[in-house]
Amino acid sequence: MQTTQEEILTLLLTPLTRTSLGFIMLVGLLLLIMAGGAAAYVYQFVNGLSVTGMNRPVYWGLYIVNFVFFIGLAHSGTFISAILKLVGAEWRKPLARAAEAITVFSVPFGAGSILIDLGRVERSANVFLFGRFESPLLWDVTSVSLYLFSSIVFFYLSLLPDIARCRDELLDVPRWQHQMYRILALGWKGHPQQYRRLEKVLSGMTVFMSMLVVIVHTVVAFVFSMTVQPGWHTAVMGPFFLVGAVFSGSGAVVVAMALLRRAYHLEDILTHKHFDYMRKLLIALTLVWFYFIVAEHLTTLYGQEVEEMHIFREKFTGAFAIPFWTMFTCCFVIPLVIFLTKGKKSIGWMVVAGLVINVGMWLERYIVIVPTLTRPRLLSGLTTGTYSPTWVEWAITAACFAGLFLLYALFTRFFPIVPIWERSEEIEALLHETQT
Amino acid sequence: MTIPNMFTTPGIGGIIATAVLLCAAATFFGLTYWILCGGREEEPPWERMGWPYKSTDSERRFQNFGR
Repeated sequence: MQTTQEEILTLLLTPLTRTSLGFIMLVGLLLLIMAGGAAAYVYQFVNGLSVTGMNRPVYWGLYIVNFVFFIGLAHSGTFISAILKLVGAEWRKPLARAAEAITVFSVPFGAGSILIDLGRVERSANVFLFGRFESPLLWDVTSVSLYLFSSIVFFYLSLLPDIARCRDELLDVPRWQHQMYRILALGWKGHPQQYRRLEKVLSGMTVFMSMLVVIVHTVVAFVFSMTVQPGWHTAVMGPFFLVGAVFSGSGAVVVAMALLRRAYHLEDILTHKHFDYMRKLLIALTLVWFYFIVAEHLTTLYGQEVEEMHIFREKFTGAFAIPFWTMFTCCFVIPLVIFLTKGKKSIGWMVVAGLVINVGMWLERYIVIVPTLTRPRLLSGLTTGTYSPTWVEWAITAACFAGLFLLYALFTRFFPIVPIWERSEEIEALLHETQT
Repeated sequence: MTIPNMFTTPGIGGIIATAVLLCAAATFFGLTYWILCGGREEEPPWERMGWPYKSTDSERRFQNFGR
C-alpha cells in the first residue's frame, strides 16, 4: 500500500512530540558513561599523561586512534549527501540527514581527541600563536576546523525548512521546545525564492564539501606520511585513509538506518531497496579497501628495507598479529561474505556487517599508529617500545562513543531525521520548474 | 620576507589558518543571509513589517508622499 504525504509527515513528526521510557533510560546510561569518562579525564589532567599507557617512544595511543577514526566516520555524511548528490543518486535522499548527523556529531569528538591527548591542554592556542605553516599539524587543525564548520553549516541549512515546519506544525510541544524551533528557524517563511536560493547554495556547497572531504582525510594521513617512520612514509597513505574513512562511515550509516527504522517505525521510508543500494556500495568499498591493503604491504615486502620489514613482521606474525588479522577479517572477510549471502535479504545481517566494519576500521587505525611507534626509525637500534592502554584511556574512549550516541539520539528526538522538504512533491515541482 | 620564510616563521601559519576560517565564516554568514532574504524584495516594506492589509497603488503613493 502506498503511503501518502500526510501519513509520512505524521510518521516523521510524531516522535518529536513524546519521549519514551526507553529513550530516557538510554540517555541516562549514556550520561553515566560520559560522567565516567569526564572523571577519568580530570584524573589524567591532574596527574599528567603518565596515567595513560603512552610512554617513550610510543607518544601516540588510543586518543590519536580515536581522532583518526572519528574523523573517518564523519565522512559518511559528506559522502552520502554530497558526493552521491553530485552523481545524481536520488535514492540517497531519505538517508542524507541520518548520514550528515553522523558527520556533525563525530567531528567534535575527533577534534576533541586531540585536545584530550595534550598533556597541557591550556597551551592548545599556541598552535595558532606560534604555528609554522610547514607543519602538517597546522594543516590538520585548519582543515579539520574548516570541515567541522562547513559540515555544521551544510547540515543546518538543509535542516532549516524542516525546523520551520516543526515551528508551524508542532504546537502542542513544551513551550521551550517550540521556542527552540522558532529561534533556529531564523524566520524562514518558505517563500519559493528562499527554496530556490537554498537549493543553489546547497548544490554549490556539495561541490565544496566533496573537495573538502578529500583534503581533510588526506591531510590527516599527511600527519603520519610526512614523517620518515617505517610504515607511515608512503604516498598511498592519503588515498588509503580516505577510502577507509568512507568505508567506515558507510558502515555506520547502515547501522544508523536500521536503528532509526526500528525505533521510529520508518519501514515505509527506509526500505529494503535503500539497504540494497548500501550493500552494493559497501561491496565496492570492501574491494577497494582490499586493493589498498595489498598494494601497501606488497610494496613494503618487495622493498625489504630493514626497519620497514620489522614493522611488517610485527603486524603479520609478531606482537600485533592478533589485531592485524582481526582487522583483516572484520574489514574484508566477514563483510564480503555477509554482503554476498545473508545481507541480500536481511537487514539484521547488514547491521552486523556495518558494526564489524567499524570494529575493523578502528583496529586499522590502531595498527597504523601503534606498531610504528614501538620501533621508530631513528631509535630502532636503541629502543623497543611497548604500549598497553590503561583504564583512563578506555574510559575516555567509551565516553567519546557515548557522547556521539547521545548527541545523535537527542537530535533524532527533537528534529526530523528524514528530510521532509526534499520529499515534498510541491517543492520538487517548484525547483524543477526553476531549472527548466 | 621571502615566501619560504613565510612557511617557517612561527605565527604566520596561525595567521593563515585564522584567515581561512574567518573567510569561511563570512562566506557562510553571507550565504545564509542571502537565502533568508529570498522573496523579501518582492514584498512591500509595510508587509514585511506585518501591516494588516494590502494597499492599493494610490494608497502606496500616499504613504510614500514626501519621502
